[in-house]
Amino acid sequence: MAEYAVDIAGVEKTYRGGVRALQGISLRVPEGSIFGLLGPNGAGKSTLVKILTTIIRPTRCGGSLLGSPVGHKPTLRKVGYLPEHARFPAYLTGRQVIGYSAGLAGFRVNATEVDGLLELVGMAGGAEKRTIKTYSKGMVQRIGLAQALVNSPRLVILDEPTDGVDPEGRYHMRRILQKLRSDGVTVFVNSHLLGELETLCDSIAILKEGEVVRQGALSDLTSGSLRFEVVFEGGLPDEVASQIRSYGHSVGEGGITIHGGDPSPLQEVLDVLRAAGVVILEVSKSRQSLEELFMESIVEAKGSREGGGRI
Amino acid sequence: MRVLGVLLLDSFRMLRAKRLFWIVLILSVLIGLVYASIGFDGAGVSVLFGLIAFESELFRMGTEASKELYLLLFTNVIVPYWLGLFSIVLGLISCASIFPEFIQKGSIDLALSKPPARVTLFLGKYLGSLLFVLMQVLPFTLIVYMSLGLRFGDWNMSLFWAVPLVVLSFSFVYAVHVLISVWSGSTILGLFAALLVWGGSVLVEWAEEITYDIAYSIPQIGYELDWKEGGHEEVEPRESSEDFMVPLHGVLDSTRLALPKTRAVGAQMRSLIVVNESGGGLAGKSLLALLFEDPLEEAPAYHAEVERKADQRHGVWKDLGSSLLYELAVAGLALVIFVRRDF
Repeated sequence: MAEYAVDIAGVEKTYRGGVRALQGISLRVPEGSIFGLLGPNGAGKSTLVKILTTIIRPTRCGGSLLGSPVGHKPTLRKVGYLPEHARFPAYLTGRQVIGYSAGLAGFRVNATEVDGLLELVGMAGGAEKRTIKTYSKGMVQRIGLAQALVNSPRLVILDEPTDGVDPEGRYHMRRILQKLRSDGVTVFVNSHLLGELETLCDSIAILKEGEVVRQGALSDLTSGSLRFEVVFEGGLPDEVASQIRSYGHSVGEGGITIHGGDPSPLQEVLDVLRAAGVVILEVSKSRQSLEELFMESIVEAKGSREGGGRI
Repeated sequence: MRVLGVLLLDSFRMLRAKRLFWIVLILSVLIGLVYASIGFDGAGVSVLFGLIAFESELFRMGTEASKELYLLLFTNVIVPYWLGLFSIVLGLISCASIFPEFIQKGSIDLALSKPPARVTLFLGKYLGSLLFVLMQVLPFTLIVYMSLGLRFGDWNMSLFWAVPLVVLSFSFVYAVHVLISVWSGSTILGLFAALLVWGGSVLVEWAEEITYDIAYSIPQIGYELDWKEGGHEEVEPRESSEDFMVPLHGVLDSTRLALPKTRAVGAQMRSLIVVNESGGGLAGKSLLALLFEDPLEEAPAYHAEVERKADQRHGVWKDLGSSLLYELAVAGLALVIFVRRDF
């Protein structure tokens, strides 16, 4: 088994007309993890996903997908894919869509296996016998997920999987993806719903204008932003505030921020506050949210470009 | 192979879901039944299972002419007009959305992200479209086969030539539609282009036929057309005319060679479907000639020879082969676009 489900280097795509959608993307997705690909509209996320699934031909592409070169068709037998704005043949029932997808992948599925998939995505109970044209967007996405899993893939690529799905459905989908990870399946999610990815992903990559501006394990990327927040009642006496500032911490209206994940400076601050008789309301440990990391990355990338540099 | 089966099954499901498919199929069966309702008794011919009757000495039970009339109705009316024209138009309309829908974003992604090569996907969809016409022609031909067999005891397998030849005619026209719709993604544009090329090629075939008659057949019979006054005068027979008609025919003949020849396929169908081993005494007669002239009156032998030469001026394999080459080129170009495109 390869260490990385996706291990690509220098992926470039220039469309006819000279539009450079991808400018040398290199990224790695560890096997058995959930990976999130983030980026603003037009960053090249869908282009990258389509290159991995052979829908778009790259201008240049090095590296591998499940140990084989990207574009190697037989490898796609081990890949499940849910496209963005999936349009399944309207004349097929949900059950038939699963069979159709299995057939295209070269698999034969029996009714019990299809039942299992329908059960998994919450589409059992009759709806799967109706044609797709009668489905809501959320139902289409559920069937889309089921068809992506029909070949028991080692890698599942999902492009905006929760698009149009209600909150209950989203929760359900998250549970499914977590279960896939626990079964050793690699999940590659392309989404702009940062809140969802934050609770789900082990690692991420942020794309901006066809380049990777950040990538890595989510915990590593946000480790530098670890901090303790101390909330107190009322105001701080000036001498106490000055003392805490002298330790290098930030003092604001009703709160103190101690940067870093080391708890020792926190103890020092708490001692000072107690000695001064300040009433402490709350002490919490936090880190940068994915949204903050995303915005920071985008702004940094923009600043770097305006400054003429490259990340 | 399995993937091709999946794609064909999908095409069948798609066709089944279309109302037009059922309308055309019902129409096809109805026309087949009307044809089957034509009967012969001692007095003459009847239609709609005896509801409308016509007296006729020539076309009545037991005569060879009645059998040939029955078959000529099939080869000269139903095959060229129903199967060769209306079925193809209806088939085009029904199949028009297959490729444009297939290459729509969100739909094509699913198919392309699977292991089958793009060539397989394309061929699967293309063959699936031909399935439509096959499913229309086959039951219809079966009805005609049964009618002829039950009425005359002539279980004529040559009738089934209609099935591949009509499908072939359709495929010549459909190839243009596929090319334009794969290139543009537009159903309407594809349909329009297919009808335009089809109409144009029929026009060229027709014009080539007329100019051949004027340039070769008429001089060989020994007539000369008077272009100024109209009419004609009898002259010594000669190989060809000496005016602009020969080069004009040459241009049209070359143009015709590069185009699909649906009329030629129809003509082949008529020559391949025979009443009996001898080909029948009425073979070669048009239906109108059959109804309004004395079919037993012999034309002069040299006229028949000129007609035979005219009929055989294009070899079967040259016509079918060049049409197939045309289809291969057009569909091949569509395939290249499909294979190379970023969806």
